[in-house]
Amino acid sequence: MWGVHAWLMTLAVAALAAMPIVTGGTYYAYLGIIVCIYSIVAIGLNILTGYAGQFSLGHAAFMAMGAYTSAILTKALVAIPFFAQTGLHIWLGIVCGTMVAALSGVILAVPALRVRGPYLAMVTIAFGWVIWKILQEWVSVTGGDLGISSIPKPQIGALRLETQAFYYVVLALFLATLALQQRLIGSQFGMRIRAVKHSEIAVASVGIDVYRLKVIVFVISAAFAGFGGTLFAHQQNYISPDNFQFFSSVFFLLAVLFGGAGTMLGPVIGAGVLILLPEMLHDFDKYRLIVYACLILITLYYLPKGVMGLVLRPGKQRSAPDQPAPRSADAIAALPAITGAELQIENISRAFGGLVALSGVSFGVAGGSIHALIGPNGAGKTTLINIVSGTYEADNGCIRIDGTETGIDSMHAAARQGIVRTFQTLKLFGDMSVIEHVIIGMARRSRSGLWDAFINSRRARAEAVQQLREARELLRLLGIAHLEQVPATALAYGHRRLVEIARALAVRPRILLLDEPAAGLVAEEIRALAEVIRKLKNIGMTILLVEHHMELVLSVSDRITVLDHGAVIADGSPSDIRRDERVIAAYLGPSHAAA
Amino acid sequence: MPLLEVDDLHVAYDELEVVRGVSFTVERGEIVTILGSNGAGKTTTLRSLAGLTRPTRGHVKFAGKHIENSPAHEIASSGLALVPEGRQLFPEHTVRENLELGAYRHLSEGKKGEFDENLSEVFELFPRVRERLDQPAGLLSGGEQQMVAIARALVSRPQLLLLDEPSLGLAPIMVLTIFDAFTRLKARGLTILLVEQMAWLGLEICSRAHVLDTGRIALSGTREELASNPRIMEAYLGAPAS
Amino acid sequence: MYFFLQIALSGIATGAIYGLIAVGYSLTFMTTKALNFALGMWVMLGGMLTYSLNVQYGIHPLIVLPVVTVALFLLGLVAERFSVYPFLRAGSDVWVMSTLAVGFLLIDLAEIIWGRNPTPVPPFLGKEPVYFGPVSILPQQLLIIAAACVTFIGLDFFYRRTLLGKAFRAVAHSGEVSSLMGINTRRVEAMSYAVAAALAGIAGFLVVPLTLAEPQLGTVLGLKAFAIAIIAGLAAPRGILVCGLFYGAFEGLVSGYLYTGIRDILGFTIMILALYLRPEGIFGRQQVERA
Repeated sequence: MWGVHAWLMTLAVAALAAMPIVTGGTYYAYLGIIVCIYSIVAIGLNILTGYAGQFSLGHAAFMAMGAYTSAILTKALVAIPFFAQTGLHIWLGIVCGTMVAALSGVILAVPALRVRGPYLAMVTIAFGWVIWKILQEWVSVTGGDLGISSIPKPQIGALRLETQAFYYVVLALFLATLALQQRLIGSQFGMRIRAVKHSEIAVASVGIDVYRLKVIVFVISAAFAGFGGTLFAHQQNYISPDNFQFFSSVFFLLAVLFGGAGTMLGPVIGAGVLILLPEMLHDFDKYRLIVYACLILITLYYLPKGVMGLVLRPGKQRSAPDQPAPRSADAIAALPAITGAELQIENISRAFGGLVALSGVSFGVAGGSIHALIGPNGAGKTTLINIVSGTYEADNGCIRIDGTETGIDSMHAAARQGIVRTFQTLKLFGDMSVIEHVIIGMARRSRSGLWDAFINSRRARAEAVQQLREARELLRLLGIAHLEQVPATALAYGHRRLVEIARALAVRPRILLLDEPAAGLVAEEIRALAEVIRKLKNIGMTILLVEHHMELVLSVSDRITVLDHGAVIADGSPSDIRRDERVIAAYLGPSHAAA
Repeated sequence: MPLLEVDDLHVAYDELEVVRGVSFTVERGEIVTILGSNGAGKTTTLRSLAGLTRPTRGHVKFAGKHIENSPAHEIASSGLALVPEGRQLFPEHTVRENLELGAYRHLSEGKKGEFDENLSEVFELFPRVRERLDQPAGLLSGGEQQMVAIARALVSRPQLLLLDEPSLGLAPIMVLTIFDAFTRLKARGLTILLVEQMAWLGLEICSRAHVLDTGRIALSGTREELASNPRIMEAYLGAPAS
Repeated sequence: MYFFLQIALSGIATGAIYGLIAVGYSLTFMTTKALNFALGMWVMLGGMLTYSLNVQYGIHPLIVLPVVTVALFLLGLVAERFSVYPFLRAGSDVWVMSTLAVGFLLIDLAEIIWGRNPTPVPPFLGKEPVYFGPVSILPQQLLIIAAACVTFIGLDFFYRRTLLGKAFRAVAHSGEVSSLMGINTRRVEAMSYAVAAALAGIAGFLVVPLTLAEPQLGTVLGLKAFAIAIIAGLAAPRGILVCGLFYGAFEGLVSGYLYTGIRDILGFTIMILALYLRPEGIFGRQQVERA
């Protein structure tokens, strides 16, 4: 079935293909090439900034890496008759240029992605500056301010491509880039990328190494920019440091924001408008910065989602992955049984500055049991959960799973050992759909990689079907199957809580840490939650529950540990705890009435 | 006319309604306590009274004026002082600087004399604060920090003092010292609205109390009525297993 | 050795300018966690105004200085209202782009008003170098070092001794608690932005006789000052001055002993590495947050 979208796309491609023939002459073909090339770079930046939420104001440098590498390499190779005849030097240059840009992306990303926000913006600016300066100063290689001229023209075989012909090549490459973006973002890997923008902590909580993920995205983005740069070099014939100034980097970011960051076509529209606009306005050059500045401000004020934000109606942006819905008959298979691990907390201490949050806390959680951790405000419950889940490190003490010391030093490490948590203050992935949250939770078990995403391999497709089926089962277990396509932002509060739990369950934890799961729920929802917790126990999962809603705690727990002032003051069965003098005093305070 | 009138207060974060229709009053010169377990909406209620969180519905009248839409700094200047949960001193400022900031309105109007006067009254209440004047507040012990936090609110000469869990994280002996100070403040005529998790502690010094449960007032009464009510304990530790 | 002292000393003068601008980033970062990404363009504005008033209208530098400072302060207030405030509450980093946009506006407006051609501005204290033994320094450079020191001492006095300064530091720690003290945090935020702009204006006033009056005069200065603010730690104003002076001396030495072209390459590379090793800056303290 062809939808409206497909027809529109076909029409647009046909129009683009016919453009040079209709307009005649080379001027429009030339403009078309430039728009395509800049769009390729902007698409790369869009993956990084629009989807993954990481700023870069240094993308012109990656473009320069591609352009200069390809220019220098092809100029050297063109003297060899073999290359001059086959035209292979051009394509070798394009491949090498792209790779060098990707490599420089690695070199920058490794230090840069330790920081975020304005710091990241600054580091990328500095990088752009360094590259620009090197281009100017390393005269023997780059030609300095004069740049590199007579760069070989693109050719296929012995046939040299003139502007019109090259336009078709670039158009095809541009469409391929667009398709790659679509594949990447639509894949399981792409979901993780989009999730990082909303909550890095939550992404880490399902076992994904966020830093590594961000570095990969940065490198992909740099490669796209480098690729655009190589095409630029061969189109222009002549390149100089002027082409890759700081302002060019701002231009790309503006294109992405203006067109619509985090949309498929946003960067293309942005690049197109920003290039064609000056061509249409007379005397524009003098006011170039003013016009761009006004565009930036107008976009930020009135078009926070860019031009595409006007076009796309909210909620309509992403349709469901077109997999067949499972037939109702085989749908409700029970979740696979899990052997819940035994958790041993030994002598854990942690201080913040001078304040002691936990001092020598020890207790055990039996495998496959529901264990509650309670205590008055400020007792140290959340700190303990944070330590067990790898969010903080303990000053002292250790955590054992089934008797083995874990040495967990990060959240994703904890998740990989089977300890997964939910958050007291919800950390959902913005407007991503319910089912996407659950599928991201399966990342740790995913076998298909980045390459599968790009080529949409059989493995990736089979896995997607499998994951979808499993995700739906989980949602059914939690009673929110009917909401699978709803963006998380549009959910009622109680449902959001359940989505958090569903995401954590998707990791298939052996120990599930629930941090105040009942907060903000109404009585009915709490009863349903208790039901879910019991079901999980039946599967075999170990559950550590931090909760202040005592009715829930008393009704589901096998055992309760009570913390006060960072130390364990009681540990026992629910009925013991309720009668414990010290527990009562901790909650109600010292008083004569105690007698 | 009551000093503080809260009428049908609703407060929500995002979609989550934390306070769902709370109404109560505080008369001049009395101590009113709000009890309730974790997450009952106590802190949120105080925060919205102080202007830190805007209520979604309802009215707050302080000394005859509606303040539900006023910004926090104006509410503070009009004589309502909140001692926030967890003390929240400025840790890198000295104790003296913390107190100066507490009296920001007076000092920015150049009323240095008034500040000195208020300061000596505070020292009378908490002699320990005077000894620590030139130390960074972050280096004090928890109990000392709580004293400074209360002192910082008092030097602004408030008509109404809001206290959010002053017992939080303090050793029992320190808790008693602090609560003793509240009784003395009341004797001087100060009006206090106290939020406390530890029920017996909070009840002991108040004239009236309300118990919050999931954002609503579940129980109200005088100290005597509530002290003997078994439902208080249930609100914290759940109903006895049947 | 004399050569060493000579270039280090003139480097320090440049460093003082960096420090002066860099502390502006710190001012707004401390109160709002946002900064004026285009502070360099504000330096340019200060420099161009100085050129207009001093060279075109022949007004004495001692009168030009307060006029420029006040003008930039007021413009800073306006810019904050339109390019920062609307985006602060949204909790996004959008102000990176919006402040840059204002910077671009300033550059283009300057080009329209003053043209693109660089024009010299005579040094305020004459051109005869002052000699300390065999080491010489331009009076303008001395003036810069002195002015930067005075500014920093003044700033320190403001932060430590005045009620408003204490309120600035309070807002830096927590806007919410500050508002409980009766401090109008909104006003403090706007003021910090305006003061940063005014300091940039002073830097422009001081530096324009050494460079030339042209619309691009502040771009690189602002960028380097930012690098310094980050290396030192955005929350450490005193460290920023120290770093600024060292960075200036470093630049002087690299230009003197190696060659000028490699100066910025080394400088910015060091910045990237410094951030990698100490994300809070050399003088910044690691924040331990309780969740």
